Amino acid sequence: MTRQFRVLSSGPHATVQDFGRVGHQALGVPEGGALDRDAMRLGNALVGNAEDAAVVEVCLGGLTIELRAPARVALTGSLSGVLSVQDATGLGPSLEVPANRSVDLDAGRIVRLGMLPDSNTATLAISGGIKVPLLYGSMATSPNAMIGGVAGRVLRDGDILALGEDNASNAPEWAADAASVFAPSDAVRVVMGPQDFRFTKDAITRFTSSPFKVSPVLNRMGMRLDGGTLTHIDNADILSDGIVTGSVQVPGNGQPIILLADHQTTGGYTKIATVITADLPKLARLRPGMAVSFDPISVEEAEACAHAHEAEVQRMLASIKPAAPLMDTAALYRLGDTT
Amino acid sequence: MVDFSRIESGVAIVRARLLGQVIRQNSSAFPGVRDAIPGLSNLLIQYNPLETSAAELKRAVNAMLPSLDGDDMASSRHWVVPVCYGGDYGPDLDEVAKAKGISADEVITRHAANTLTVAIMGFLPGLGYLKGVDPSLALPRKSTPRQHVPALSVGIAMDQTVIYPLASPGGWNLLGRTPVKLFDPGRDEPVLFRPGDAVSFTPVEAAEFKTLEAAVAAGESIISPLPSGGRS
Repeated sequence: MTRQFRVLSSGPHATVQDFGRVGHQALGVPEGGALDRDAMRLGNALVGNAEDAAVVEVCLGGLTIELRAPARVALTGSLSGVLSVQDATGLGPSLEVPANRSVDLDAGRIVRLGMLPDSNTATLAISGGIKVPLLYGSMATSPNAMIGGVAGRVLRDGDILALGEDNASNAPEWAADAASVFAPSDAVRVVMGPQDFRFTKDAITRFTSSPFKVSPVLNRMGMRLDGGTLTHIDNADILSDGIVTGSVQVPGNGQPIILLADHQTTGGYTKIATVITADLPKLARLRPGMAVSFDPISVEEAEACAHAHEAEVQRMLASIKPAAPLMDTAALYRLGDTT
Repeated sequence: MVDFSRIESGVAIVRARLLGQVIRQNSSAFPGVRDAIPGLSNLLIQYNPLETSAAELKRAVNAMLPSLDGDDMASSRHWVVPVCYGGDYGPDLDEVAKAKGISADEVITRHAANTLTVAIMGFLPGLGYLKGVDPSLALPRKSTPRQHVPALSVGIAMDQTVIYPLASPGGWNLLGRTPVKLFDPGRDEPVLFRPGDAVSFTPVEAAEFKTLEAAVAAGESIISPLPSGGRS
């Protein structure tokens, strides 16, 4: 029988994600994929999946699912988020599962994620990995391009999704030390350009010297920043050219936008800088109202940062070890019931 | 980013596209490259910094540039796209006619007369920037973009035409709509146009548009390319 889970409550914005569609941007096809790749890799490792298996990316939180098969699940990308697990009635006492550890659950269990207390996004990995049709080699949902995931859209209440085979059902539950990778950070390193020469000296100084604030206008395409206007020398128009995730685009109004995974593949506005690869997962964890400051470094330094970051992620993955048993409050109630 | 902006713009686009194609098709000569995205005057090369470096890539590209010759149009096709102009399908047709001091019919005639070239693609899956619109129709984009442009709307701005593959916000002047699906995830090749392809338009009446639309909905293919290899 096909392994499945059902979405009881989708929350504001939950999508199926993987590493995205690589190599088709010349046809206008966005890469897309998980905003927080570090969280996706850890989640899959904790539930015994290949690191590129499809997961649920939850923005803000508020997701409830019902498992229709035994499965191991893990919440990652947050440090203080908690999964509440209840029996099929949803009324009994709940098992509280902290982030960055896996838990083995029976079919029928209801897994609830409240609003995330720390990060803007988190990853819910489920053993077997989510199975939806591949397009250009990826299952990732890009809602604005209406591709991937479930019918190219965000998850809805009542969606039923298939899971692959569970290869780790006999392994112990695992936990990882994720504190250093998922710690909140407002310092983002950038390489200046490609069109930084189109900005005034004051604009460059403003960009690199004091923090901006993450605006509530935030989605998988981009993150608008408040708190300063970056003035162009003449105007914001360029001959359209390619964009990468992390490009900091500044249109005519001078308000910077960091372009994220579902960005359009080309654009006609100046880009003042590019967020380095190592710091892209950090962006997924920034919440509206948080400060963000930009620290310019060289291309060579950015490449060294990518290696250092990968080493840190590898240390996190290597820290995975059998987890301490969770307090099963339901069992405790049964034990205490001696009347 | 490889900059071609110092050479003539028509040549720059072709060079950027050709270099991108060579890089994407020769992964062994360019290890660690994720993608190569042509712009109107440059090529953006995206790489995995764990597998290569900007310095290594620069050496590989510089070694290859002298032998970069010809164009990428040997495999290009010519698409003749049916368009129903005006009315609800082309809400800006009359405004364009007024701005240019010609009749709506004349706008249609001039728009359908030229064969355009897919310069680059971007914005949405399957959206091509088609260059070569009759200069007498040149207009800027609308000062206030529409929040909702219906899928398959045909718009013009400057010397270009775009067809929106999906419903999206957009600021182009809408002349009409086509029943041809430019992007269909269910197709073997989901994206219809390729950079370098030739595109021309043939006006159809509303009744024919609806017939073609119904055929597309029934899963029929209503367009096949004319060969145009070697077109200059």
